[in-house]
Amino acid sequence: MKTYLYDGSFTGFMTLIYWTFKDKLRPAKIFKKADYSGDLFSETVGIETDGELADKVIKSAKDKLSARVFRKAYYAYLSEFPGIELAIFDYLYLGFAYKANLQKNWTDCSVLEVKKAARKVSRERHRYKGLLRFRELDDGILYGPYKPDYNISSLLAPHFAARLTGEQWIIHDTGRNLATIYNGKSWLEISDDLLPGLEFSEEETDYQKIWQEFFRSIAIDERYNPELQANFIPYKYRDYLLEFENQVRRQ
Amino acid sequence: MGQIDTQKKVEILAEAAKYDVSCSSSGSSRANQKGGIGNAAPSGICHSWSADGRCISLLKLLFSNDCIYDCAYCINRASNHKPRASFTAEEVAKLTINFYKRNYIEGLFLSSAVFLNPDYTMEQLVKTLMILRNQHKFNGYIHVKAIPGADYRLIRQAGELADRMSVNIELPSRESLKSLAPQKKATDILRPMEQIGTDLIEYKEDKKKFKSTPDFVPAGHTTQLIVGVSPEKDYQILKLSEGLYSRFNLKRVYYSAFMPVEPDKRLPAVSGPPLLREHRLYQADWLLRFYNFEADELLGPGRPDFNLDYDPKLDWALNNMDKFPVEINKAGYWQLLRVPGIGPTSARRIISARKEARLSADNLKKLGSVLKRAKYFILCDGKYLAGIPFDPELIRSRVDRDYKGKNQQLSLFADTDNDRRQVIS
Repeated sequence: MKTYLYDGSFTGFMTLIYWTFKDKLRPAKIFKKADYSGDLFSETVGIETDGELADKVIKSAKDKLSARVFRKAYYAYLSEFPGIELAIFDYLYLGFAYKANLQKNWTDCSVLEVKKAARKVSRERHRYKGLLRFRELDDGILYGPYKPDYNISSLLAPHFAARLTGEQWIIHDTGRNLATIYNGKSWLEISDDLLPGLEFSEEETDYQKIWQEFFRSIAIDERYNPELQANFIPYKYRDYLLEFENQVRRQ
Repeated sequence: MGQIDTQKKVEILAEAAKYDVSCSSSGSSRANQKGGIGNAAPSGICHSWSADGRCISLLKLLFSNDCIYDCAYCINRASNHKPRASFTAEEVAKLTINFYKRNYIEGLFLSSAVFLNPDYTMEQLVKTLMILRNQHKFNGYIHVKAIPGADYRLIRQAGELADRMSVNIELPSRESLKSLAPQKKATDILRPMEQIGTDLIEYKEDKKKFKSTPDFVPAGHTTQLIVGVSPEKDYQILKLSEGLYSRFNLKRVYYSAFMPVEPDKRLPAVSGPPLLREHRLYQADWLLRFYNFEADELLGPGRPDFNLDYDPKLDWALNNMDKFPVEINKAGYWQLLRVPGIGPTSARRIISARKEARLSADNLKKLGSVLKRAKYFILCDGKYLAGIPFDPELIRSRVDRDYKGKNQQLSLFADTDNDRRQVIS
């Protein structure tokens, strides 16, 4: 039984899948190199990330298992749950080796774990399609800071690229210190210490005020129900939401 | 300066629009075009939730609240002393674009009071939509009202630009309409609904032949009924909805619990909105649209109102115990759907999972069924799971017990006292 280590990227993880499947070896544990502190008893194998081998795995997963099954694995990976890599290994192994129909399988543990993680990531992605708020900077760039539980920026970027095609924008994951920037043509992920200074445009504060006013006016006082509101929009999401800034309830 | 002015108008005209409940942004898959901004997501996206717990998806505004009509239930009626304001088409378009690119909203919901006359009002709405779609190349979601009494050509024009349209019936019978909204004619409301319903089908047919045919309200059309302002029973309201779905090809009927906006001697005295009654109507509406129920199965002349203690499906099941228990490993989709605690998602999963392996009670829970409610009504591989004999009386008392505890915890739709006390004289 060996412990496998990879560089922490999805490409690295897919390379790991390639070698372990090829050697028909189930890892005892899988760790990102940075997270592994080592222990006395287990033998470790370090995986060298290889883009071509990773692509091979991705392509055959999409072809042989279906794009949907692969997407679940990718989404589950983005959850960054401890131990999720091993569940994804089992999930894919079940699909490749036993030709099991993963979409219809609702009883196997690893399948359930992957599906559950994927569902959580997918829900958060959907949620932030609505909850991300952009601020307009003085050079016209739209800046959207947020702090998601899962690593979903790469899932949100295509959504906003299709929608705000002609704009330039930044999606800033303040928890992971990652910035996804879009220049009007394509997007890429960078570390957030490379971000320029952030100054609001002249109109920005006005629009924030109008939005806050709209948010207050649209609520019906006779139906005031903050518990219901909190069910839909828990407090952890409110830090970056302009409409919840200095919100005072109107009498 | 312009911004301050806009802010004041938003305050007045959002306030005036808030009693329209529809805020859905689903059902349209309009794509972005070159040089344009926005697209529509078929699932719809909620952007925030206001202090009353309702979803905010669209920038919901009245174009104007300066109404010529004097409908008793309405906050904007002519005799009500309220500040009045009107937007310009350019103003609404600019605000929409600026909100949209900051991702505050999914699109625009534009309604209006009738100012000057219905045609002029509708023209202003169409003008706003044209500026948005043509000048700004906006491809986000637009929901627009058809103004009753306006020339249908204007309404059709709006339908080619919008994703969804609606005409609000508000009062569920001709008699109520006559007494509470004397200037509105029932035919003025129903005719455009019927025409939109017909056009929906015709445009779709045309599009099959000619690719250049524009989309016509791709997300369908809807209406709204006010609950508790007039003496109609739940049965009458539900029958009306059923008729609207089948005759006018309607996507949805919204229900709005009446709240007294200003005292008026024509209105019933109520202490608060009948929220639980509204909730039951929505539940029943879902049963009509997704569960293949008919209004007459749920209610009848002898039982015209919903039981406020249980949801309509559980209530139906308790009154139809001869149709249970149902074997999970055999029952068809529609039969599974009728089991309390099993919805479309878990019914679909049950059917797909049992092809792989027979289902045990343990599996069933993993598939997401609410076993706590379902257990009284199902067999799993021949085994009855409730732990009591299958006896309708006993089951009713157990369900009662389960439910009572739950209702007390569930404060979302509380206000049962108001619901009960509301007697219309």
